[in-house]
Amino acid sequence: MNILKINMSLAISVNAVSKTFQDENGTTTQALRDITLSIKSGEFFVILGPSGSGKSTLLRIISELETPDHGSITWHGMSAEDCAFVFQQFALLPWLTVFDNVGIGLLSMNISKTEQKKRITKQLRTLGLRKFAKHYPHELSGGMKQRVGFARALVVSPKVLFLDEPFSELDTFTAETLRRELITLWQKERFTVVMVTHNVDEAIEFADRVTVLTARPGTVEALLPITLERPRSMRSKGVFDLHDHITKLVAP
Amino acid sequence: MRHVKLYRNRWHLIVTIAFVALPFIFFLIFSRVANLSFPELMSNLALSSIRLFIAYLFAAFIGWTCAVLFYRGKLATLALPFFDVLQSFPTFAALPIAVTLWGPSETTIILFLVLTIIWPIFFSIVSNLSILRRDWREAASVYHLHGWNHFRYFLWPASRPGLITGSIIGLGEGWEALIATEIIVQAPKGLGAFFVSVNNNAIVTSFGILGFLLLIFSINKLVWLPLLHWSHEHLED
Repeated sequence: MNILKINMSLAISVNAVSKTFQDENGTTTQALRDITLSIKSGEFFVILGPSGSGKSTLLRIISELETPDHGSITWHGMSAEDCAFVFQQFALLPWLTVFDNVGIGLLSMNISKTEQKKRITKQLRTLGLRKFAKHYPHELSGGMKQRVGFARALVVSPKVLFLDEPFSELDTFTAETLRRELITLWQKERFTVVMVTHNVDEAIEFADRVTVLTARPGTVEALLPITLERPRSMRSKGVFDLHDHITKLVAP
Repeated sequence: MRHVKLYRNRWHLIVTIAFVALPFIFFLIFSRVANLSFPELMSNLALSSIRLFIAYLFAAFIGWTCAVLFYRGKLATLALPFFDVLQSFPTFAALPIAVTLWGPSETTIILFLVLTIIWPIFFSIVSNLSILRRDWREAASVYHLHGWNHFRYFLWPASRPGLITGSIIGLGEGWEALIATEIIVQAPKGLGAFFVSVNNNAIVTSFGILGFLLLIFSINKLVWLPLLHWSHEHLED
């Protein structure tokens, strides 16, 4: 799939966003300073940065889980209601079964119980979770938990999918399989994705565009389009060059 | 959601029935030996249990509501110290005022029980809710769990372990306060009246307390411990 095929209309604008946190002792830390970005409809947008660059905070501000101290977020032709979120540590509700966890996003939608069940069952099948429908989160491995996390997000057919380091808690093989499945699903559905990661390989594998944040306070260091054809071979010369370039940008 | 398993096999069922029957068999033998009327003993026990049960329902409802309203946010910084001062207030110090207002009535007894039971429930739920993971709350928010759905799928299951722990502690204190209050306000019926009537016979009093302990032990073993185990089982990710 080529980047040129992407619908280039704007999805979300981040306008001069800043955020400062204060701890219990009154010490303030600026997490983000004056971030301005535009995310296009249907693109895979990656926010890359070292630890403490405020990338997760930025994602939480964009998804309206947190409010910025300065600046604003503008949604174009959609709202935060149309988004779904996949959390780094899965954030499955431990008192609900896999089936109920996947369905929580459908509860607020105006659809019948039968339709809800149909959509949940379909999503469970897509992500290979059918056998686990009646299990509780504590009975699943990390990889399965994150599959539930993805199923819960995708079942609501989101226009925007926010991913907060979704593979960082998984082992290499599980992460690789899930990455492949995600890229296939995204190429099929073409929802907008905003993903946070500290993994340069992951950014290169997925992104249409990558923004690199500096360490605390997070500011935009660079914004790079990645026009390599998909599927991207992680052993090609183009990828190696890009990897070196981005690594230099990320390194403090 | 899974149901609470009261018994696992036939042997467990027999033990369960024994736990239910034991206090009553004890009371039956006890009443015969001590020359007391068994129906009267049971009616005293039933009346006291009903008082405690009504008070518990009020305390659980008010305690739970206050806990979910005030456990976090700006309200918590003001409300929690306020509630902490309130709970340290000795309940019995207010007894003369209540007796003046309502006399030695059911209202006075139940009010006192509510004031005793509510604090363990309130603080257990507050402590339970304040350690919930932030991303669970965020997931509930991102996936628009509001109103009834928020109560049913988030707040209620998340606060259940605190409610159950608080209920066990609260009811333990409640039994004690119940008998003391019944004796102080000189309620004509109830366990307080029973203990007053036999207080010059140390053996009967001791065996009465023993039977009472057996009953509380059975209730804990049969109801509260399985509930506690069940609610905690589903609070681990």
